[in-house]
Amino acid sequence: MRVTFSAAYGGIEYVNTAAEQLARARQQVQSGKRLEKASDDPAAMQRAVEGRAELRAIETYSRTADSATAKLTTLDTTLGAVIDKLQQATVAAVSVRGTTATQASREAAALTLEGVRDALVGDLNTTFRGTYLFGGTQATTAPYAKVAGAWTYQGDNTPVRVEVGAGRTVAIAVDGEAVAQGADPTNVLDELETLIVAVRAGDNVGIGAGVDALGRAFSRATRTQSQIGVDEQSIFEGQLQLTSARLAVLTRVSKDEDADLAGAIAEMNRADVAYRAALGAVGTASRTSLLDYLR
Amino acid sequence: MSGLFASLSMAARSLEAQRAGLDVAGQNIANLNTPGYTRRRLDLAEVVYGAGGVEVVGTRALRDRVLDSRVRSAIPDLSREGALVDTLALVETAIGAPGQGIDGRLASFFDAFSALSVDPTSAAARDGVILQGTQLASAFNQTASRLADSVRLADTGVRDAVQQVNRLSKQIAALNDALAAANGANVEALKDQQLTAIEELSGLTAVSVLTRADGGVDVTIPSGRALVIGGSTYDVSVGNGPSGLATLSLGGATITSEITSGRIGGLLYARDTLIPGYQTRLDELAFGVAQEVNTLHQGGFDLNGAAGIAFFTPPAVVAGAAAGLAVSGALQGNPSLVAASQTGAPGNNQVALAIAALRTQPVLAGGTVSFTEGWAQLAYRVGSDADSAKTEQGSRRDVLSQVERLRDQVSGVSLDEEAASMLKFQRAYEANAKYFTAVDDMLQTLMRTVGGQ
Repeated sequence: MRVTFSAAYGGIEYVNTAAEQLARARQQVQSGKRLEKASDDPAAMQRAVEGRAELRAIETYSRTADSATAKLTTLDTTLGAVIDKLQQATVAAVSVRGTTATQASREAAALTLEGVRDALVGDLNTTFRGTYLFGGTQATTAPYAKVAGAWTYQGDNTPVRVEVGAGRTVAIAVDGEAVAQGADPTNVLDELETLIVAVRAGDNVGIGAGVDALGRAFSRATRTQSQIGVDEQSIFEGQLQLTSARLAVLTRVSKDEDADLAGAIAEMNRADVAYRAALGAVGTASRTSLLDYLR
Repeated sequence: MSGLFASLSMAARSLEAQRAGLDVAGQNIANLNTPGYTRRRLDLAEVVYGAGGVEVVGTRALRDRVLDSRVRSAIPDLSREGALVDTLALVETAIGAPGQGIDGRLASFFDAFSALSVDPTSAAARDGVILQGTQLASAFNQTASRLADSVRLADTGVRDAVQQVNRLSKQIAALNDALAAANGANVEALKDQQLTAIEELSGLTAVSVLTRADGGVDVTIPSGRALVIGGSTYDVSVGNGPSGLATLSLGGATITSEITSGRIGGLLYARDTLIPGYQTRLDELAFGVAQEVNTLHQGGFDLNGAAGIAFFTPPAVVAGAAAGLAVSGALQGNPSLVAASQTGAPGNNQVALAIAALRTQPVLAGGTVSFTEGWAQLAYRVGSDADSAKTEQGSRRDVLSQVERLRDQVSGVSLDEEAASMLKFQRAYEANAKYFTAVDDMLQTLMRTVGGQ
């Protein structure tokens, strides 16, 4: 084989190749990423795009769960207050049932009941950052208002639900009518109005009917509260799941996107050696020729 | 037995021959770095008549036609892949890293609808939806315009390359004329130039080369249309196609689809096949997003209880959907027009939920692919096309350098060889000069004898 001038003095392309490999290895070590553009690893790119979208979805679920938790806590507390008040009203009404109650005690009980009624209206019309929680999807209208002398439900019967996980929804606004009225012909506020009249009049039958109505309202409120509790529990469990799912996806995405640092550093050292070797080879080749010996 | 005078003239011829040998070595060394130079060799022969001695038969360039044609056929493949690598590198920048292209914008857009579902009456959440919609639209616009830029750049590359083709055709034709007129003169330098021109031309498009008796060449593109015949050239002309892109014609026929290799072939493939494929996918994605979001949005009610309007300005056709995607003008200044409600009740969030759920729903390609998957597929396509062009370029480069090395072994100049040959001719010159002196001495001796002193 003849070794020609261009073969001996060439070889600069090998230096280029080695330099390119070194630059690439160095970039991986510096950035910590093995996937910077699609052609670095097309299949990993596809997986990473899908993985990142999954991550975003999980993060959104978490954020939604956080805001839902705030509303659920408010709902829970409010329903707790409603239950307390219904108990208080029942106690007051029962205390004046029978023939022994004096007019003064009746009046006192009636005043208590009026207080309870006003407080219940306040509870049912609870807002969270400007939206009503007991009006179903009618978020901007107070659920209970007195229309033509009667307490009227102005919300609707559709609870507002949000997604806190794949296929996992919780209610962030409930049907107030289901709490206040349920299957009864009249709502608990109107029942209270009737009860107050009955208490003042010493109408024992009326008081009995009113106490029964309060009892039904009590069980509706407790049932709703326990549903809220289930939702809160579901969020809590969901959060745990989301955290582990997020970690799993993150690990997967990282495997596709991030450089294995130890490997990258080893690769960089190898590329460095190769680069020096190529430089050395080209440098040595250019140093000698027969001309050096012809003197 | 010849006389002393004959010996003297033989010695003079030998000196001349050795000097010619030194000249050839000098010529070879002088052209060590000349591209396309083929090493020359001095052909010497023994003189068979008269006093004998040596004569210069001529100088020969050491060419190997087979290796030349193998080099020529390896060049177009390499430069085709090179053109693809260059073009696709630009396309890749439009895709971006995972989570930083349209995929990230899509996620933010659907995130905004999720946030709206939690608080359907919130003005801030409504503003967020419009803002993210606008950003998604502009991400689509930018990606589309980057792809369009890549097409334009490839087109400019084609136009430039065609000019080079025509210039090289003229050069080859001029060399043909010179070779035809040479009439036995030394034409090796012209042939070196011819080889360089043909190889440069091969980088632009594959060509077939037919050598004429006088050493000239006829050059045709692979489909058989001639670029150069003898001293005449046929220019490739550039016209403007319907979309403003260059169409190539030669001798009245359109040859755009006939050039499939070389730099032009690569650029045309990227311009007409690869990038339009990406554009179609991007447009389908944009069209899908606009259509699905609009359908849900128009099925809902805004904060005032009025029926929802189109969220994105509805694109009429798939083509150009990405470049033209925009949030409806009416929505821009009026966030209360965002339709989150299914029933008209302000607190209803079912439309917002449904739009947020589009994030993972398979709605593209006949309901089999989600938006994110659609984008991931596009990214994969671009990535694998760029990757395979790079790999292919590497292996083509190896092939070419192998063949070039083989040719170099025959035609290349070796410095050691030339140094040795220089020394060889120098020594031969010295020896011949010695012989000349010896004959001269003998002649003088003879003269003195004849002179009778």
